[in-house]
Amino acid sequence: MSLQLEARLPNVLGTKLDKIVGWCRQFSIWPVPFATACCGIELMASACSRFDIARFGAEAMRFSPRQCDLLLVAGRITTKMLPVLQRFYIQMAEPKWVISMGACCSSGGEFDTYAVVQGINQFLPVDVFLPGCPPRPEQIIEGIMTIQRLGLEGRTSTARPLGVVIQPYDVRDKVPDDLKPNEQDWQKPTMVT
Amino acid sequence: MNSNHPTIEQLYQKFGEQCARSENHAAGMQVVIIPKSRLLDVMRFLHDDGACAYEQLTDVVGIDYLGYPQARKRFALVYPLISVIYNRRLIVKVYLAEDDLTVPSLSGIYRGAEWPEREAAEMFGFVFTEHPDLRRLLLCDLFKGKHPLRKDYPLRGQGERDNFRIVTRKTV
Repeated sequence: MSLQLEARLPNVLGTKLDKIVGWCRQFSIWPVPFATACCGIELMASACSRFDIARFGAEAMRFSPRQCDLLLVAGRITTKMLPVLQRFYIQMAEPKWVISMGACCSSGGEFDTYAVVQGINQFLPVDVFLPGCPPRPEQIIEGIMTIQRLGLEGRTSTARPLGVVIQPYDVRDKVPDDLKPNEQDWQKPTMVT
Repeated sequence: MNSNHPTIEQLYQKFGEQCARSENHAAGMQVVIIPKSRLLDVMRFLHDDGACAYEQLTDVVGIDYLGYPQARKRFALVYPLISVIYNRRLIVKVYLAEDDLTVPSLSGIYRGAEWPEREAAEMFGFVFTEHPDLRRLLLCDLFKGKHPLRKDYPLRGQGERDNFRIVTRKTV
């Protein structure tokens, strides 16, 4: 849509319209929770009241590829599921982004077996990787915010997907003191050599 | 074979001493090993008889003994049974040689054996005769003719997980 308008309007108006449209798109980004395994539970947790992703406009989780912008792949993708996932991605309308949530879909995770695809980025363009098993809801939110920043900059239909990796989020420093575990009671594990 | 399990006595009375060997599993459960030719008869007896009454077959488990030092036959099929009325469990085990993997299907006696037998067939290569529908259950078409849970199948597969088309943003 923006390309057709740019052909008719002077450049300044075209880019401004792009920015407004991009702003609208980014703050109502509807994900599809392609949750195949345990990361789906963490995704549900981040959609619930404590770590609300509705604040970012991502509350409307649609299960149809025609109605969503963001493909949130959460969980292991098996050899049986990957063609389905690819078909799903093709059916999504532009602009679309892909988040690969968790270790299993980013790289196969701990399942280096005959049936688990070792990283969906081999066969699908992925924009944001969220490492973790599962990644914390704060990381999921950081991933969605990254997509928002990408979209605001105008990266709607890039030919090359931007593979951004979100850094792991260490929660231990943010825990209030009364909730911290007591260091004396906690026994350090003995390493087996 | 000293055991407190009453089903063993009933089996010996019905089928004679030679048909079944029993041993105690490490977890305290009773295992009965029967030859493949007697499998259907024994299962039907265990299901239909009033004193045994094993209504439930929980699973069909395949074992590959490749590499075991004391194994005489390569494969085994394990059928754990539960009797809800008498609150008892029994494990029935059948040993199979590598060149003879044809087993009678239990889906006529226990309806719940249909899908576990499909899984055992695709993963190990057992052929269940008189099974109503022996299609692949869990694996996809890439594994046609391959049996991944055998011990000589590589853990990482034979390239099935790398063999997909690449979808780019320009693919329609």
